[in-house]
Amino acid sequence: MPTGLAGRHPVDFDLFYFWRRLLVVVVGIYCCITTADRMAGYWRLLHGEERHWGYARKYLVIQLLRVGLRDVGWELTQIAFWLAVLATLIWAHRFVS
Amino acid sequence: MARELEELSDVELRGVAEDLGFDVGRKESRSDVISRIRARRLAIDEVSREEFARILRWAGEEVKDFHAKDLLVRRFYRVNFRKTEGLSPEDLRIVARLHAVDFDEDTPTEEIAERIETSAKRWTDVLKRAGGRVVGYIAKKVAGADDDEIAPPEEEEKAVGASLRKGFKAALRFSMDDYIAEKLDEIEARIDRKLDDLDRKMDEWRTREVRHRLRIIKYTIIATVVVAVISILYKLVAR
Repeated sequence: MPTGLAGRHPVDFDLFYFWRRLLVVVVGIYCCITTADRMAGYWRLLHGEERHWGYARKYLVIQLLRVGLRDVGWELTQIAFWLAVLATLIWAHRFVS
Repeated sequence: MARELEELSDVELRGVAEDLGFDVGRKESRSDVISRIRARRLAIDEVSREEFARILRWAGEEVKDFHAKDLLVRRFYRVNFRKTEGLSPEDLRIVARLHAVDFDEDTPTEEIAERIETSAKRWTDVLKRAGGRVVGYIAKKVAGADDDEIAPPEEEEKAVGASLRKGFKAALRFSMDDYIAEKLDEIEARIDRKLDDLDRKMDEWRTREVRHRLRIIKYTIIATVVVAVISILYKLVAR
């Protein structure tokens, strides 16, 4: 039996499922484009062959390595917590299908 | 370093040699002077800044944290070592090495101290002789004595004039060198402080930026969780 855009039979078209799928696609594409654009920006800024750009790249790497867990630990903990909640919710979907 | 030395003029080479505590003989060739400077620099390289600072403090000189090693070396070679009381055996050996005093590992400390003091007396005797001539010349001018009676021979007068000129030139050069070196050290210390300040600000900015990005990720996940909750509720209602 053929399925529609929302993953359901065309007869059982569900606006919510359609919206959810559309959200994933749009936000996913937006994230990819934004990340690629930002990376390309950094590349354009730092790709110079001159010595000072070499120093800038090394300094940037050192700056990133110096990020302490203590400074961002609380944010990381919250992200881990919300990811766990999300995973649980996704897993819980099978019981209400 | 060697190439730099070979590119220097005779006058500059003489200045470098004086900074490193030895006079250049009139008949000494350029290559001899260069090899002596190299040997002296090698000996200096083996001594740390802290050791120079310690010896200078022993000599009663003020040493600040921002004083560079080069400046301490120049000041070290102006210290008079006619008396070495209070210098530790280790420092005595350093002084002996830096003044090319002959000794070996078995030489007793007292013997090394005596050799340093003897050498220092020899260096200062030369200065004394030059100074004596200068004092005699000035005394003669002040007393206004008859030139015919006590006038030194023409050659000696020339030598006195040359000594005076040389003395003034050396004194002027030393003070200018010290002043410039001290100012450069101060500027360097100021630049270092500025760089540290910039680095600290970069640290703060980076941490703030990383935290900001993580917060955005967190809000995105929360929004996703909200959608998942709505999805579950929707499924429950739709069932």
